[in-house]
Amino acid sequence: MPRMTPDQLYNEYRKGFSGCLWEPHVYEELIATSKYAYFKDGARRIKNSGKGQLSTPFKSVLKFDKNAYIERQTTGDCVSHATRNACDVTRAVEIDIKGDKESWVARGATEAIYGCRGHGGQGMSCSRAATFVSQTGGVLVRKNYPGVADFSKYNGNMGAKWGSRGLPDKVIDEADNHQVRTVSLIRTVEEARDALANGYGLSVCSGYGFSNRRDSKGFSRKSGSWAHAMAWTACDDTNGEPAFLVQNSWGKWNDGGHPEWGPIPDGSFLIHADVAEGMLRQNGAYAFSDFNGFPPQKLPDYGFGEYL
Amino acid sequence: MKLNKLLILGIALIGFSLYNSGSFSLPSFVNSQVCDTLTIDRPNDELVQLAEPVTEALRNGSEDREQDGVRLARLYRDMSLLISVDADILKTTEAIRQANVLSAKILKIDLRGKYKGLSEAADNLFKNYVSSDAVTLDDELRQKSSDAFSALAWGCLEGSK
Repeated sequence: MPRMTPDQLYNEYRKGFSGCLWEPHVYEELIATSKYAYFKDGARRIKNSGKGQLSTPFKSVLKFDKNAYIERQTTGDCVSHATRNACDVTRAVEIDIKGDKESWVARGATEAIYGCRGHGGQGMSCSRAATFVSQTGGVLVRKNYPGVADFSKYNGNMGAKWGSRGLPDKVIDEADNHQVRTVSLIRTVEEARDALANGYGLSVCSGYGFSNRRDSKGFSRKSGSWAHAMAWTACDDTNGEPAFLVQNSWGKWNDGGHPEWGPIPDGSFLIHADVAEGMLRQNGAYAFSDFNGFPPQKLPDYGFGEYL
Repeated sequence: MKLNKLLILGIALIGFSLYNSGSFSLPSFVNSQVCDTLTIDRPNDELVQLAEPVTEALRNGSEDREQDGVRLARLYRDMSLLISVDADILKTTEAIRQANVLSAKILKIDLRGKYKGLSEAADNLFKNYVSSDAVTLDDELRQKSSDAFSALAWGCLEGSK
């Protein structure tokens, strides 16, 4: 896939480009090896915690990086963007809301996630990406890792090229330092709602496509079929049934209205519960929690030396 | 320096408050007496211990310590209040650092070379009592930051006597 504009990406996916794949063996192995493979098993204590709530964990990401959702994919690496965006929600909330003494550093990097897909073609499964950030690799961020790789600026080609030859050992070693400890399959809208209410970002692979126009309240209707991955970054359950904020990775590909509770980032849109339920039934939705984050950076001083 | 407008406004208000209180004066009034009485509560024992080097640095420094100590005490007292009342303005230890530097610039405070060891003592108080890391302020750290500025104000006031 050549470097594409938001409109070109929209059209390619509508025409059948496969950004997300289904790899049954990877899925089954992830389920077999995860401590809490199913969200309901590991989240009994937070069951229904999102009921009736407006949960907007993406706002924690924006506190650290106001341009977090401007970065758009230029190749078929939607799964890595969705996974990165979901993990960024989780680690931002851990620092911003839960008070973890960790450092944000920068938004996550997508290249290594996409580079671990194990083939030279386009697309990957959400299961493989989830396996990488939690078991075989980890999370890297947008910065230069001297002697390893420079991830400071998104480079779709880097991840694309690693697909066939595999990730360099140094990249895997570096990623391994910062893993997500828990990855759980989300299968119902209630689970998705409760995950977001507790600050766990979701990446969702599905075959659902959507209109590039939002209605006056920020919703996009289902339209066509995309083999695509997107992150879910908020949930509004204040109107009887949960609505979810879906964050796409095509830059500014859509426009339209915003929900009453506030503006939503470029490229995002809301979906109704019935649509969400259909997407989750395709067994490609994962919640990420308990990030082994980055140690806080030292403050050089408190600035007294500037005038005392 | 990435400071939001609210923070700049807050610091400007501190400056305005100090200016009107008489503790920040135009150069021609530098030697005028401070009219109103400033009182700062004695902090807890740990902070007293950390603030003592601040007091000592002032007492062993310039002859202007009476005016300078009071000016600093007022600034730090107001910084303490600013941190405690509004969690939307100062959210990280880095933001505290930036606000500290900006406050001094707005108030045209430059005491470098007048009080040996003062900046190190103030810095040490914060690093030991609040944090030496660039971290987000939770409720506990916010309270500690506010208390640290208050203790600094107390130490400066003691040093002015």
